[in-house]
Amino acid sequence: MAVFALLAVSPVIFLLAGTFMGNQEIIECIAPVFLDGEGYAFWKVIPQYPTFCNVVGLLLDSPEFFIMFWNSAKISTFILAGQLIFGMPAAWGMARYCFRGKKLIYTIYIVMMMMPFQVTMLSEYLVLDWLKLIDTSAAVIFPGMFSTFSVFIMYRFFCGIPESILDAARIDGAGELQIFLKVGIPLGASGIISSLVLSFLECFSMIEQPMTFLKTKSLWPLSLFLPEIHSGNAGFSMCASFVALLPAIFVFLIGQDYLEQGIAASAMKE
Amino acid sequence: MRKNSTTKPAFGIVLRMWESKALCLLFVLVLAVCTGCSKGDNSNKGGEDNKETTQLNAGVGGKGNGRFLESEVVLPGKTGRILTLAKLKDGSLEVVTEGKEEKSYYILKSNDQGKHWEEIPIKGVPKTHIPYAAVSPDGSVAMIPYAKKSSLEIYFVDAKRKTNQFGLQLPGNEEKNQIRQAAYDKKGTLFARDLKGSLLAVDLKKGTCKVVFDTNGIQVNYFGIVGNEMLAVHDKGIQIFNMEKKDVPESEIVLDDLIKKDKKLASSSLDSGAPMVFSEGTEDGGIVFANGNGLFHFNRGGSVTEQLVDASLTSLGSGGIVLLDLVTVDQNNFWVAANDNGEYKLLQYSYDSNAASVPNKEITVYALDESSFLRKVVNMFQKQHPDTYVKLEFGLSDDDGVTLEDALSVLSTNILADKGPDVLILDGLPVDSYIKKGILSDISDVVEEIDESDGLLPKIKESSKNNGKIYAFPVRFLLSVIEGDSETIKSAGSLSGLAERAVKLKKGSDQGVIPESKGTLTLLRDLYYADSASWMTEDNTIDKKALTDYLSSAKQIYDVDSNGKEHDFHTKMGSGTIDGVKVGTLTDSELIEGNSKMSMGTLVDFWSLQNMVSSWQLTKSDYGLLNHEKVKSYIPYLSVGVTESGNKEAAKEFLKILLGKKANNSPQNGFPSNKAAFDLLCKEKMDSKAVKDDGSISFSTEDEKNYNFNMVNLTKQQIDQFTTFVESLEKPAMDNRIILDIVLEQGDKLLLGEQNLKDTVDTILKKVNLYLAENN
Amino acid sequence: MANRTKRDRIGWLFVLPSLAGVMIFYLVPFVDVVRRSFRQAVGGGFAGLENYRQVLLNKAFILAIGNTVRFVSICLPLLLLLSLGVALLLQNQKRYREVMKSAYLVPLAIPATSVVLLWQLLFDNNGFLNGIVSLFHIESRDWMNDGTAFGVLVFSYIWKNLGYDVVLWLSGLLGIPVSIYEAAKVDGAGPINTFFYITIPNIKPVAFTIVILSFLNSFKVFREAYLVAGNYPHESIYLLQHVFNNWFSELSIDKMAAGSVLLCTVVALLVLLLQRSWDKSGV
Repeated sequence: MAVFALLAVSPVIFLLAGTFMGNQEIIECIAPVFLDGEGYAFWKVIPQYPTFCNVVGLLLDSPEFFIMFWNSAKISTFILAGQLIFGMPAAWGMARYCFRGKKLIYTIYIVMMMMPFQVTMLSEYLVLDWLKLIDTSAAVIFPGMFSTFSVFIMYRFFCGIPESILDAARIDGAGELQIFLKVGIPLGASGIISSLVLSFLECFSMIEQPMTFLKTKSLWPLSLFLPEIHSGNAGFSMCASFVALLPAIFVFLIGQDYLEQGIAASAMKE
Repeated sequence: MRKNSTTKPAFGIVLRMWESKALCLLFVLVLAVCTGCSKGDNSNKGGEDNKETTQLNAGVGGKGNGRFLESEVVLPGKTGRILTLAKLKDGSLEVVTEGKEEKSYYILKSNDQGKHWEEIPIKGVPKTHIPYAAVSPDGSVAMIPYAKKSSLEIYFVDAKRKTNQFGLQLPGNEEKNQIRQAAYDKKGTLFARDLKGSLLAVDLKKGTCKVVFDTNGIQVNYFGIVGNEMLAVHDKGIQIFNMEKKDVPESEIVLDDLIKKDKKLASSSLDSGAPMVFSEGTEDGGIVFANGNGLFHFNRGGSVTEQLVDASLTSLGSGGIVLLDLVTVDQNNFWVAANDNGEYKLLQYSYDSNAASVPNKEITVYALDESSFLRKVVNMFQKQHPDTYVKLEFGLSDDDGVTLEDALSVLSTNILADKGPDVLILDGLPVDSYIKKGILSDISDVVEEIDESDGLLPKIKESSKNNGKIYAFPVRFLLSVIEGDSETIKSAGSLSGLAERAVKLKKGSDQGVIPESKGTLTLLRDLYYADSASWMTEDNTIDKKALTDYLSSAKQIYDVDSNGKEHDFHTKMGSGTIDGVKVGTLTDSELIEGNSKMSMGTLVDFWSLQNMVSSWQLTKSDYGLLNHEKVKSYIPYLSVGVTESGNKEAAKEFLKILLGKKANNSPQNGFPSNKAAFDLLCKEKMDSKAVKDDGSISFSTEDEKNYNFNMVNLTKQQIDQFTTFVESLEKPAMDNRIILDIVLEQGDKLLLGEQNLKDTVDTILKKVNLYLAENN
Repeated sequence: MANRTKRDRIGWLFVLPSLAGVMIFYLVPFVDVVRRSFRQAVGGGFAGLENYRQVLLNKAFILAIGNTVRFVSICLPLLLLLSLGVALLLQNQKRYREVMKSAYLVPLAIPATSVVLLWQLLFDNNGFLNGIVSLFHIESRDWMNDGTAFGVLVFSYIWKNLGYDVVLWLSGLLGIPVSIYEAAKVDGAGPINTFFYITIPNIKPVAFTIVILSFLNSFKVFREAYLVAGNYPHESIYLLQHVFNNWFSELSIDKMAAGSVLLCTVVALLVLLLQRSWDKSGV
């Protein structure tokens, strides 16, 4: 049990250690794999000669990294906002109301969620191109806003709210919109947040969409930052990978409890 | 709701714990981001500025109709080399030239903007090579030869054409200093730049030079004089000195950005000429400058430059053009003196208000790899068809790792969306797939036309036929050759024979047999190109025996010298172009040094052929074809196709020029399939310019040994032998990059001893068959 | 009753904006895909069912489907059982639970590019794993290019998703009222009976979510496989997305479209089946 936990967390420790190692040391360790040295690769958990030069190099000397970082931030923010604006009502609508075609729409949403990107890649490209969105951030943001995955998560949660509370509100004279805003959202807060956290993780690691729809390098998000490891910048890429990791973990830590709460509650009331 | 009540308190505590941690992280992140922000902004801003600085504008006056068209100013017949061009005080134009019979110099003067020229031979100047000349506003000329030990004799030809001699001492007494560039200003003061990058004012009477501009220690790479100002170009920008007050340089953000964005504009390693030349702007002041991107106008203090001429539509963009001088003849007329790939020209750009400001037809030419040959042809096409704009796209041009997959997916998307290129260079692309999908047009009509007028190498034409039609045709090609003694050449009739010979040569000698520079990937690739033409079987799979033989020979050869178990750092793709020029893998240097007994690889062009033959003076070697025993193959280069969905007519016009004699008369970038060009080049090599110029090759090794040999002409016998070789090549080598990558990846493991032969063959076959199965 | 239907129509309104967006960015492209599945790749000539025929007979496609099915049918149950097991163990360990949960969830947050770097270091011929293994005198091998490549992929999938599923199971488990357990104990039920008759029925709803999400994540494993082993990996990890990707490079958009439609139909059927069986078991 504990062993596995260690296994799970080890990559983070690995990167952290790598960040503080000078290039020479890293080369020593990984040369066997990347530069064809003899023997096997190994790693030192605590660097022998810790140095800040990689960190400095990354933070102060590489504008591209930050451009991409902000791109990721921008894209993620807009997508999450869109998911709230569009997805939340949709989840609510499907959860609480019965209307013709609901089952159909629900199934469509799930199936769309499952499709691997390659399937619709070209067609989506053509649609985006027709809308003149190719090579703008919108090409990645718009499809993301309407992601059916987040709707799915939120739906499960909204289903769990007992009808009685809503009926009570109706008796008190609240309109449907008010019920949604004043009752549904607060009760569903943890579900919504868990959906946001999961979507954020998804946004931050998007690879295929930006690569296909964004031509200009300066629009690329952080997830596409994969510098080749060579003797020149081994430490640098360690540091870069580590820093790229941080926002995800950060959001994750904050949202974690909500995540569990949300999924728990949704699971219960099905 | 039960869960909520039990977990609420715990939840609260946990939340607080995490919150503090989260806050710490947030703080760190914000800090990090802030430090990076300023840098990020800077480079971002730079990018924005670049977009703003150039706007395509039709000359003076505005948009709509009208554009500057290029033409050539005809100079008197004796003109060989142009030294300098200038506009005199009285408005006439003067050119200093060297005649075709070299080392005789002339002053050409025209009072009517180039319609008539007066040609005045310069007397009193010795018959040596004089690299530079400068023209003063009154028409007198300073001829500047090379200095010896920092002192030189300047020959000054005054307005009456009398020549006087002045000795000049350059700064830096004992050291070797030279003048690298010289020009007069409006007042008749001669300025020069020396080897050390200092700007000097020359006093001919006193014979001394003074540093008059305080560049603050910055080395000047080249300069230009515009009106009252001296523009000193250095690595990071342009310092602008006023001739009156010479100590405080100004600068313009726009001009500095120009230099920063394009390193090639910062300096040039050539003896004469510069990447950019300057002149006065139009009547309302300003600066006009010309470089490889075009002709531009800039007003001091402005934030934009105006593009007057787009280089890609003219000779300025032909690549390999060296600019000498720029003169503003008048508001609508600019002249550029340039060396265009060996030909000295006076190019005139004059405003034609009737010409469409932007060509109304457009075709796109696409290639994966950068190619200077293509650029040249695009330029040729543009000049013949000024109403069609050619967009040249290179899929892999960026240095920031666009992978092959990325480039292919972008190309595929465009093609499938019917926005594909009109002309497609198919090197490295899945040609068979494209043909099957009907993307390519039948170009037999163009091919036949060229065959009739110039002739095409017959076997190459035959092997391009696909069920009687031609969808892809190689404009150029390379050969696989082996260099060494006669026994070695004989054994190279097959790879296994070569391997045995290599083993034999190694016995009893601890000297190298195979060139050290042949790492695993290079060796595999060379042998692949020699051997692979015969690998495909009838039912479209790879012949196992052929593959096995190839791999085992490769291993044998590699093991002969145990060239260190090292990875080869050639990129897997090995497009083999440097700065757009195709490079071969045959090297003679190790044979010359005696470090290897044979050399093999791709022979890329006539230039390399001559090099190789010349090197035999030192090595006494010979050469022959390296091929599979049953099939002699050539390596296609610049395989061109025309897309069905594009502008076929214009594309075929482009094709005609691409395959034509004029374009192919180049001794670099492959051998021509065009027979007329081929024959011409053969003839040239029998009596070549290189030999006439006393060309020689010299290089030195790490341990300070120097090697040197003169270029020699090829004998008729050698030319005949070469022609026979070429005419015997019957099939193209397999050029499918996917298969090549798979073979290289696995072959690399085999050569390094990480995998045995059987496994290697099996893995390759499995992967290749998977690939072939996909496209059944 | 009029109230009810009026209310329900309002439900439509809530869904509409999202539906519109989904239609534009997902459905319309999909319809285009369906259209292309009946046409030739380039030039748009009508091809009828030819593409479907070619796809179904295509050896590469068949291999990929086989691998994908094999992968899902091994991974999914494995992951479900493992995570359920871990969740059961953690159910009663209040002390370590929070920490463990966080630790397990970390892999989910690591971006794919870092994962790839790690895999390279771990599984290469000269990588960590071989280093460790050689200490035990077991033969070292190239894990990604061998029969073991499949195992590596399974490991990668489980490593990434275990924590996620554990959390889900845990919340389901913890949601079962303690009183039911107490009642069962009083009735004399042993642990095995408790498990089968109380625990399992009560976590069925969570199970539905977990199955769908894990199934979804199993497709994502392509990313790592592609980044490490390229377009033509070892045949055991040659998945559906590899085929689609490569077909695209070769401009075989017709085959890709037909294959996608087939995939979509199968997935839709599975989902419907899943829904049906869940509904039937009464929730």
